[in-house]
Amino acid sequence: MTPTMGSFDPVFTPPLDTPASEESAALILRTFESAWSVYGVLADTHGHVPVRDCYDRLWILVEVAGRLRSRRTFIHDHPHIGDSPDVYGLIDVDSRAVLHARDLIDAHGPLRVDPSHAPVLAPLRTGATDSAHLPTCTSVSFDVTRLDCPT
Amino acid sequence: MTTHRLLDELNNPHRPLPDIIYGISTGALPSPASTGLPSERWQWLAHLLTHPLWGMTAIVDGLDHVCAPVARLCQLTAHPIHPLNVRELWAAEQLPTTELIAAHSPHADGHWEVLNTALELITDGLDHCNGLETSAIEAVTSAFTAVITTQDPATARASITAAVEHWIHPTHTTTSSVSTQLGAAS
Repeated sequence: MTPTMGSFDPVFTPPLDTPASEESAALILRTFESAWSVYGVLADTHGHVPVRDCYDRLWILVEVAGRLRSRRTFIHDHPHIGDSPDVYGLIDVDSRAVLHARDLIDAHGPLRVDPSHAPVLAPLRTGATDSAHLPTCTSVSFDVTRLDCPT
Repeated sequence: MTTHRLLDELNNPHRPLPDIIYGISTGALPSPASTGLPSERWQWLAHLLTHPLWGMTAIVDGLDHVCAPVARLCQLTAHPIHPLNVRELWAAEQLPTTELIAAHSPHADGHWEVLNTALELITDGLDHCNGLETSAIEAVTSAFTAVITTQDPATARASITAAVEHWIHPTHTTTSSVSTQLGAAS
């Protein structure tokens, strides 16, 4: 969570029943603009950013046709008949459980991004483009004011 | 036909609650929030889910994550002017709630009835956004059925009576509780 600009608030959430050394910070997204600004940094190779709404329900943020959408996840211990393609499957853009991220944040926000256990954040869209030619996004060069925020 | 008649029936201890609920479902008895200003009706329906004394979250444990967001949408619907796409928000609740209810059965622990209440409100919310008239009778009878499924007859009668009295005489001291918890609609 290197970016420090924008209107999101990194907060320290002390986990219950865990040693102090395992404490970790969660990222709180209070506005659509803050979600859009961190999306490119936090998205995994599938373009997904898992977030939880204020009721602790799990969603993923995903870019669909240049817009930031939010999709409810359906995670069970065992697969159920009729389950939607899951978090790591194809995004069902026709699903009724897809929302504009702005509506999700305004109605059921703020959203919480739990820390990733991955040692290195995977860059977005690695397969089709030559990542060596892409500008590196670092804490120094990251500037939310320069990112496009399509609605 | 005013809701006072329903209150009279509830105050008659010899009138069984299942008969009263059946009367509401058939239209023989008036249902709370079936008529009136949309803002007042949707506000009461939000309370039907999350009122701390007689709301569904007070009746059944473990379904706050379903009732609270649907109550929030009832509040948003109660206020017609806001920048959000409320229809899309209602629609997003439908599929997950349908999946949840499949894991429960009626007449057991009240979970099915509460989830059905949420589903009926989601249907009403979508209809409202499409410009259709809704009565919310299905949601109300499902909620009252959840009450009589989970509580003893005396307690259930008190809970349902409190809900109906709240519709007849809304108290502004408690109406703000959900708004405070969930945030006022913009």
